[in-house]
Amino acid sequence: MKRTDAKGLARDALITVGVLAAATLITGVLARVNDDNNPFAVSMYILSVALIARLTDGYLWGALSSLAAVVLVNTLFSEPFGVFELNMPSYPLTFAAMLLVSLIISALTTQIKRQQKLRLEAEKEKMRANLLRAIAHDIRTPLTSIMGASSTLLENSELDAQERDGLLSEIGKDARWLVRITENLLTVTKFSSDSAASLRKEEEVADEIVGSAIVKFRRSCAELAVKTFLPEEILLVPMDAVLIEQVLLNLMENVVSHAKYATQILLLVRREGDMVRFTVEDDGAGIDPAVLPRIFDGYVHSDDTGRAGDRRNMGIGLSVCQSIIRAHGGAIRAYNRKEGGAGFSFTLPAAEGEEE
Amino acid sequence: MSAEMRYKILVVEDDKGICKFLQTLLKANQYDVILTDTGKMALEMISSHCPDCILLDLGLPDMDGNEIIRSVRSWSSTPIIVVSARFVEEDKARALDLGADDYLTKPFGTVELLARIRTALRHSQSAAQNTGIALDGCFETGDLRIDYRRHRAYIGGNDIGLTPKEFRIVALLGRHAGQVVTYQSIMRELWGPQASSDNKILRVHMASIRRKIEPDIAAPRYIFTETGVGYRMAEGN
Repeated sequence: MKRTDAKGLARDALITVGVLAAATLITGVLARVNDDNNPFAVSMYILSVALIARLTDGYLWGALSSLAAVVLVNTLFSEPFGVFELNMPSYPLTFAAMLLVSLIISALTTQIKRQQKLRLEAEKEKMRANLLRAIAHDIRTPLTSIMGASSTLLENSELDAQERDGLLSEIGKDARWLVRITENLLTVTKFSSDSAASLRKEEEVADEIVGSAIVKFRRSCAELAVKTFLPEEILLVPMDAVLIEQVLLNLMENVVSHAKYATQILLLVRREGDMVRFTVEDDGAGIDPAVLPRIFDGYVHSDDTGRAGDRRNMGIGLSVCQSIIRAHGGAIRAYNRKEGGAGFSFTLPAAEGEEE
Repeated sequence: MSAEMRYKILVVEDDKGICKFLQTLLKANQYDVILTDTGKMALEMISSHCPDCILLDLGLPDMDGNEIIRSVRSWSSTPIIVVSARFVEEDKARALDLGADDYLTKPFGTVELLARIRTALRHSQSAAQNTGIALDGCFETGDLRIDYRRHRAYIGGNDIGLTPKEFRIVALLGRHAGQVVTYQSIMRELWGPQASSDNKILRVHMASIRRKIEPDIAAPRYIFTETGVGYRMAEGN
């Protein structure tokens, strides 16, 4: 549990000195006001030792402060003043009491911290397990269909050309779906935490990213119309272009695989103060309100959404979107449109006053 | 070249499944195919078989694919199409800047692969220059016409009023139509070897070019962005 870094050490030393100084000051003021000092001094210092043991890491600072407290009480607040007297029998006892208090509290603090850490790790582990389960589910479904289609083709030579083409194109479609999953997985590995450190940010023109995302979207599923509303001005947005393109692609493909009855996608970009807002909306059946609050959690399954007409879930895709946007210092949300259909919208901080 | 003349393509790839489908696909499209799964063999075969085009997987068991590009480029201009599973965009840009002609990311579509091979073969025949440009000083794709003699670009016959810098970008992409040109090489070509690594100025120019030539900015028809790598002009008519 002991923190070895210099920053933690400096913090703990500062707390120790600060609390002891405060205790000395208060006791000093009380001694001056009340003339007598003994009833306050020892209890004040015990309190400060307890505080220090609670606020610092490990046992060291609590023990040190109980030693210091005894010396301070001895020299400053008991006769003879200003002199350290060792031969008074009560002082070893005071010291022992303070040390014991500090040790007990340090032990409790350490224990609480360890338990918190364990709980946090258990939670992380649970999240990871959930994510893995969602991924396994996502992968198994298309694999089943690929295996089924290929063995049907191999074992049934009497299939007509149309049936064969149907099975073959189904294989291709499922394979492309697997590609999307692996791309999202690779992105997950880039984001071990929501840190901005792994981003390769450059100032990009908003419509260029929208354009390239749509070109990629067209390549995989050309049926759905995409209507865009882009600003006339050249909007520069600092971003990791590859990742934001993936967010847009995920949101558009989410419409294809989840929005029942959707006939078109609306993609809007507009400036809102010092942020730029990207919106992807559809005119489909909308999102089940029960799912909305946890739609970005990464393990919403189509089985329990009641909304999806498709067997696939976009759980990983949406949670990847969220971590990408958060790492950029933006926010993402999902909602149902008043006119019907679902909407996803995210913001990114715009470049500061640098338009050309 | 006569119609009977078959192009020879060297496939450097260590995955058996991919080799198998590439071989079948390329043979079905009237190409001769030679295969190898190591970089060492690849270098030997390039000098002994003189292939017309090389499909190179960057992740080989015995050596870095980039080493092969460097080594081949020191004595030959045989087109190299990099096929890579690498996820990082810088790797693609690096391979292109080392002298690869084009790249494909695994997994890729067969239509796309065949188009890239055709483009690479065409470019290697007419030396750096595009055939159309060599003949009449013009490049045309869709309604876009780049006139290299007058330094003008037209959409459907109308001069679109590109600035000199914008024209040079369009002209450069036109010369390499169908192939991706990295940000870095455009920057070097236009702003000199000391060009900054910040491509913002290029992005802004491109946004302005798009507003002049593309009917729908969100669905580009002439210049495509290869995110994180560079730009690609559509194939000529």
